[in-house]
Amino acid sequence: MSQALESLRQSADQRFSSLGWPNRRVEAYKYSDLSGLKQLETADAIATPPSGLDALTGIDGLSLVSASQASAELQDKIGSLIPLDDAVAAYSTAHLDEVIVLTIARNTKIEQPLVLDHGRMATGSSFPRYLVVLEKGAEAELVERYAANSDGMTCPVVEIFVEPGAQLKHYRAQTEAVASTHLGWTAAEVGRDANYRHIALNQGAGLARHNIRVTLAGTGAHVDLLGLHLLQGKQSCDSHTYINHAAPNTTSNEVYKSVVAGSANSIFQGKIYVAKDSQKIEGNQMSRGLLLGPRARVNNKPELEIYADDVICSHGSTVGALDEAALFYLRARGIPADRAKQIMVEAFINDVLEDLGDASELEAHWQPVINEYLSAVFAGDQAD
Amino acid sequence: MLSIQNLHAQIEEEEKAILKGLNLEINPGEVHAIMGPNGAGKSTLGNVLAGKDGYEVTEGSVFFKGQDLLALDVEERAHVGLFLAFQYPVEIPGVQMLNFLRTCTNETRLARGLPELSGMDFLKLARAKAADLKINPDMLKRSVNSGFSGGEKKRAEILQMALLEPQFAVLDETDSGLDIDALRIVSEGVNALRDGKRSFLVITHYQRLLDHIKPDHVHVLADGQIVRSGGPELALELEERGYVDYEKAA
Repeated sequence: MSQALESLRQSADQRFSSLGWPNRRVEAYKYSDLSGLKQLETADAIATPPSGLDALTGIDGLSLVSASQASAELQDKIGSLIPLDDAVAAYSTAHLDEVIVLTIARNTKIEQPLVLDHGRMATGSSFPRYLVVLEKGAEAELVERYAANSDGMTCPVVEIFVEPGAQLKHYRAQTEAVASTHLGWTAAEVGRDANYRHIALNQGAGLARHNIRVTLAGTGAHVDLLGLHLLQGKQSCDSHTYINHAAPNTTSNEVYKSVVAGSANSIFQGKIYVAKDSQKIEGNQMSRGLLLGPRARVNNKPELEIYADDVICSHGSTVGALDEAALFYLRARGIPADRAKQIMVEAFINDVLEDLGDASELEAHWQPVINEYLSAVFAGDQAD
Repeated sequence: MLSIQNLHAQIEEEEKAILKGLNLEINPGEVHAIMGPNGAGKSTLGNVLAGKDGYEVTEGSVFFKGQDLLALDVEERAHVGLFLAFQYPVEIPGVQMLNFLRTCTNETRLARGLPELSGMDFLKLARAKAADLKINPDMLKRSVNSGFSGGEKKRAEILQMALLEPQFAVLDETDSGLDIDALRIVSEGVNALRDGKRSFLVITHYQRLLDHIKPDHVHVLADGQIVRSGGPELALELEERGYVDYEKAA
């Protein structure tokens, strides 16, 4: 490991030692208590290279190297987008080992999705770490999959630079076993006239927290944050998003939807921050929760922090059960009650996933997860 | 076909009686109209027959083709051949009209022991029935009733009826919100389904629908009971005199 990365790791280690796992008194973790988590010794970490990286070699315009082989300029970007005063960011960085650096060359469009697949793995913890740089005018699709089938902890950190005029579509699916704990970070900086589209599926892990921090750094930058929580049993899942309109004429669109069965707990905290000189921005946020049982919970907390005076910002949040009038209508047309409920939930979910263009990742990898979730929830299989 | 005897029903939450001993016999092939002032219990009757939550039957019985209708679930009532055309069809964003129609048609066919229709066969059938009702095929790609005009919603109801082929249909204020052209199209759609066996109960406040769908029997519902029955001429009388006599009686 380079001297710079080693000193980053050490400072994160010190930072985490003083922070510890946050309890509910820490505002950002008000609805997700992490204080019961263990602290692993560094030695317990297992190196888990994603499967399928070989498929990414030999693609024109894509460079895939480990941090030690990357330029000093690229190395400097590692750790630059995540705040170490967040316990999850500090903890993951304290276990920093291998960093994979993907660079998509200027004005290159890569058709093949760049898949980072963290499938099933042995008991233990892993700290996947990526730096993704789309140079000016580049275009790509990034796919992250986390499907650990163990009682360990997955703490991935992905930092992304979408340089001016570049476009990135990013699918992130977390479908780990309920025994697993998932604490992840996604941080992106979006340059002038660049476009970043993040689509997240959170269906797995007993305890999950996903932090997303997007900085719209140049005029004309746009971000879409689209998220789904599909929860059941005693799962707890927290998506914590922060969009910083750091430049004028930037736009953001955020839609998070939660379907919550059993006694699961869905948390969405989303902040839109507009800096003083960021005039003419538009930021829209919507969070919706659908409760499928009397013990299911949704905690949505939208926040706006605006220092400019010529902006359009909106946020809305709703939580409710399935529409009884619509259910009656479907049943009156001969559709059995469970099937009618399933149709309504599918409609609720599809609203997030439509209009995404090429959706092969959705069809091949997300739809089976969604179908399995719906079958489990509507099989009357919900003891709690 | 349908036999309603001494039906008493109330709204569960309010414990307020709405139907107070209603009797009605409908034979195969007959069209009955129920008219009455607002608040007489017309829509409650439709909702109780279809099995909507929130109503409690406190007395009486409803037999449909010899079966105890009130013992059946909402979807089972549809399967045995009951259809309610809603006064206010529900908008369901995100559920495509065509998928909805196909699901309800096939669920009903399966329950009746018929094979499911393939996607292609169903599409042909739905397009043909939609064309009969002058429904723009693009409407089938939209979400169920979402953003439909009043006339489009009512035509969509009749389309569902044409696909589900019920033996008995309740039309709840199907004329409300319709202009003259839409009223004619909807009425033609209903008349096309009159085959001498299928029966209809037409609930309406106004006589004009009955110019298009000619009833065999007309009943006046006031304060939860049928207070008068007659032939089509009764509707004309009501049109002329209004419901004043019956509101006082209530």
